[in-house]
This record gives sequence, C-alpha cells and structure tokens, in this order.
Amino acid sequence: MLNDFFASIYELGGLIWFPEFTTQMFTLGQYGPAGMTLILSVFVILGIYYLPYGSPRYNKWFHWLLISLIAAVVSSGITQNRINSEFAREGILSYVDNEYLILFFLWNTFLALTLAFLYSLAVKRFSRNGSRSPF
Amino acid sequence: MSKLFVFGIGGTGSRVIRSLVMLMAAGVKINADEIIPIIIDPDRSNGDLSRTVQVLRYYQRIHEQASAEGKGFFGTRITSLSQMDTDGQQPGSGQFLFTISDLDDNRFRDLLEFGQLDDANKALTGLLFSKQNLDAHMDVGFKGNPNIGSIVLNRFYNSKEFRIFASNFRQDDKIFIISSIFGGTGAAGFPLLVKNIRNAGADIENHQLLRQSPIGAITVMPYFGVVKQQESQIDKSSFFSKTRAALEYYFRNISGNNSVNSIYYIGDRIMKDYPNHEGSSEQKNDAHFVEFAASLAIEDFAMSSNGKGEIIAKEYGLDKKGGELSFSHISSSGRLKTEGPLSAFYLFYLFQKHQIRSSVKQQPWARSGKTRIDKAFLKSGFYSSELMPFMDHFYEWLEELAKNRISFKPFHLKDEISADMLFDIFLVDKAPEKNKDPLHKNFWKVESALNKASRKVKTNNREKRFISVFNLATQEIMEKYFKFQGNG
Repeated sequence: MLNDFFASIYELGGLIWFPEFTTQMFTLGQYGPAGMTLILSVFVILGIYYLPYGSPRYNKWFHWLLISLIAAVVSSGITQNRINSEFAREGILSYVDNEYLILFFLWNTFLALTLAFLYSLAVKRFSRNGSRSPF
Repeated sequence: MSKLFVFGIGGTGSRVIRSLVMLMAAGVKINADEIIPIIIDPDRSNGDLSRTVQVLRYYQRIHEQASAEGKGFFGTRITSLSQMDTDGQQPGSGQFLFTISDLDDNRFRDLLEFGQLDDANKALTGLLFSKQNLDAHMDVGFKGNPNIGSIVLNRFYNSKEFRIFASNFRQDDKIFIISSIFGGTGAAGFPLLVKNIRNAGADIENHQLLRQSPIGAITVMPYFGVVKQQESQIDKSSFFSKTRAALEYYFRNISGNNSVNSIYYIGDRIMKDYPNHEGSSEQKNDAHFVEFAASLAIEDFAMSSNGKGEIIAKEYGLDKKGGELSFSHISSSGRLKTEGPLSAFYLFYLFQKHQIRSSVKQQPWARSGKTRIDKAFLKSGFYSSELMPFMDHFYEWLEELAKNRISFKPFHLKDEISADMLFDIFLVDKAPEKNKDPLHKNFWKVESALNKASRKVKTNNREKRFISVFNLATQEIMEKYFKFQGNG
C-alpha cells in the first residue's frame, strides 16, 4: 500500500523510469521506507527549525535553505544506505548501474526539498520566530 | 479624569520636570490621567528650560501618535496650559511656559517705576534693593536674588496663564510645585504661588476649589555649586544662608500654617561646581540624582495625598554617601517603581541603536501584516524626528546622571558594552537569571520576545503597534529574566 503510493510519487506516474532500478525498487518494496524516511526527515528537522526552538537569529532565507538541504541529504543518505544494503542482500547491487543510484539520490533530494518548502508554507505561521522564513 | 498640575519654578524646576518626563516615557505610573507641566522662569532662553520644553514637545507628539493610553511607554498624557486655553489663537501649540508680562528688555528699576517714586520711597527702595539689583535685566532671571523675584513673580496672579489654570481646575485635580530654595526664582516663586492659589479671589474661576486643592511641593536645597567669579551676582557661599533664611520663612508661611498638604525636602553636599552663568542658554546643568529623586516625590504625592489632614513632611535620605549610586542604593519603594520601567526603556533604546536595522529586514514582528515596520518607517518623521531625538535625550540624561557627582549610574553606558554581551550586563547591579532561555542570547532574547509580543498587539496604527510591541516585549524580558515589576 505504502509502496504503491510512494512509487507513484517517485515515478511520477511512470514519467520517471530507470530501467532495472525502478523495477527492483518496487519489487523489493523500497519505495515505502524511502518515502517515510523522506517525510520523517523533513518533518522532524524542519519541525525543530520552526517549533519549538525557532530562532530569531537563524530565520533568514539561507538558514532555511541550509536546514532544508540538511533534511534532504539526511533523507537521501538514509534511503541510499538502505537501498545499497537491500540490493546487496539480494545480490543484485552489482547489476544496478551506479548512475541510477546517483540519479535516485538526487531525485530523492529534490523531492525532499519540495516537501520541505510545502511543509514550511504550512507550519511557518505557527512559529513565533520563523514565521517569515524563508519569506 | 484627574489632572496633576506640576509647576516647575526656575532652572531646578525645569530640570526636575525633565526627569519626570523621562520616568513617564519609561512608563512609570503617575497617579493622574493627565499631567500639566507649567514652567515659571523669566529667563526664557535658559538652557535647562529649552531642553525641558523640547523633551516635553517630543513626548507629547509621541504620546499622541503611538501610546497605549494610560499605560506603558509614553502612556500618561501631557498637556500644556495653552492647549487648555479654549480661546487661544493657537490651540495645541504646546506652550509650557508661564508668561510674566513686561519682563523683556526691562530692568528691575523700570518694573518698579523707580523714576516716578518720591524721594522717601526711593530711599526705602534703596534699603531693600542694591543698585546692582535695580539695574538687573529681568529677562535673564533673578540671578539668585529672591528679593527681586518676590516682587516680579507676584504679577502672575493677573496673568492669562493663571486664569487658564484656574478655569481648568476640577474637583479631583492636584497641584505640585517644584522649586529650589537657594537661588532667586524658585525661592521667591514658591511661596508666592502658594499664596495666590490659597488666596484666590472671587474674580478667579473655581477659586473655592483652588483654596481647598491638594498641594504638594518639593523644596530643593543646595546640591551643586558654581565657580566663584568676581563679576557674577551668583555666589555659592550664600547658598546656605539663603536656604536657612528661606526655610525660616517657609516655616512661618508655608509649612507652619498648613498652606500645603505635603512638603518634600531634598539636598546634597555640594560636590560639583558648574561654570558660573547668570542665565541664558549657557545655564544648562547636567542631570543630577537629586532631580531624579525629586521627580519621585511627584509620583509619591500623586499616589498618596488626598488633600486632607495635617501637613505631611518628607525628607529624602540615602544609606550611601558619595561614590556611585545604582538602583540598589535607592529606597525600596523608589526602586520598585522605577527599576523595571527604566530598564525596559533603556533596553528599548539600546535595541534601536544596535539592532533595529537588521531586525526590520527579517523578523516577523516587523514584517507581518499591514502595519509593516520597514526601512521607510525608520526614516519616517515619527521615528527619525520625534522618537529617536527623544531617545537620544533619554540617553543624554542617563549619561549626565552617571557622570555627575553624586553619580547615579544604574546602567552600563553604551560605550562600555558591546552588542554581543550587552543584554547580560546592561544593568550595573543585577545579572539576568541564567538558563531561562539558553538558546537565545543577548538581543536574540529581545527579538524572540518581540515576535511573541507582536502576536498580541492588535492595531492598524503602525506607530502604536511599534511602541506597544516594544513595551510588551521589554516588559516580558524584565519580568522573566530580572524579576522586575512591569510598567503595563
């Protein structure tokens, strides 16, 4: 269920398609954990940024960008690590093109940044010190 | 709605009113809805007077545009006599001076019409006044001669200002009179003013109310000297003999016959001599602790006196002699009333000097809603031509208090602290409570408090919002980190 849902997001309904890689991701049920990791990383890290310790000192746009990048990289790092382990356990890591792993890392990072932006729009109004961050 | 009419007579009167304005700006509560300062000084170009009138005007304009009526920074209304004059040609002109007619370009002998006196009266006049007295020009004050002042100031009973004052006096109103006893204008003006109020005739509106009105007064005894100069008529060696003589007179005619309801006495050892200026713009003394304490007498009178019963006499005392005073050296009641509001106001000032420009670029308190505080606001007439000049006067006042002798230095001055550690040590004798908010330091504590406060202030008036947000935020800082009583 989660895997189906996140697969449709990661693959954009079939628009994003990395041969072999996406099939293995779906078959091994890796979209679910990847999506949950992405959401949790963004929610927790940006949640700390906005609430409850929103800082008046670190509420400029580049502070927000830095925090969002950290959330995205953390999410992609954890996901990449899990994919590597899972693919290795299944003995298929050597068959997957490295280029796809890097592209998925970047794609996951982009999605995390997008989610960070949307999440910020939703929660910043509740933050005492961060309600004007990133704008 | 009760009013407090505050008469400031002479240079000391002006300086005490200046201190009072600073306390009011910080939000120290005066138990009156409206204060009407009335300055009586024939020396209109007196530097002390000009400075006081200037801060009064700034205060009025800031109050009109930005205050939360009755509380917080600039909360108490200040009105001038001319604004009460419904027949005035320039209503709202902010004239705080009590005009005494025929003084311009006149010598004392001209006022007495000395030339028209017969020989016997000329001889009598010669016994009471020296040739130097008779030749004295009246537009620079009485140069420490109360015998001249007592003649000239008697004219104010017939002045337009006295009638405006009387016609606006109401049942719950009170009167407070500030004067020094060792000069000319104050020493002469105080008993005359009391006499004219207590003996107001039927030709004066509300004369019955005036006769029974609660009157308080502070008599400021010597607390500074002047450098001795041969050609000057002001000599500090006469200050104490004048004081003794005047106190005896007051004992018979003021305190002794219950003409006033409360009388306050204050003075100090003379530890500093000012340059000997007989008047005019050069007479501009630095603010002094005695004036600060005298302004607290006004608050005390407004709070406590009901105009009934025996006269109450109070004398100001300190435990400490000499050295440097801070809040911990003043009485607990005075400290309780002033420490929190003045600290909050000083923090407000420091924020404007150090942080405001970067703050308005980013912080939510400045950038939210229609009432945005931006660079344009900082260039607006309200901020740049009224609020900040007033705040600079406030700092100048603090600086003078600190540098004078006796020194009253409750805060570190801005040159002594850097912005990075400013919040922690801006108070001389009190450190903030630690670990209240370890993630925010120094001005970031204030920024955070401002962001919190801005959510509570609901007004579409930008100036009102600005002052209210700072008032709430600095008050929270004082209560949270220093356990001070707020000014709200």
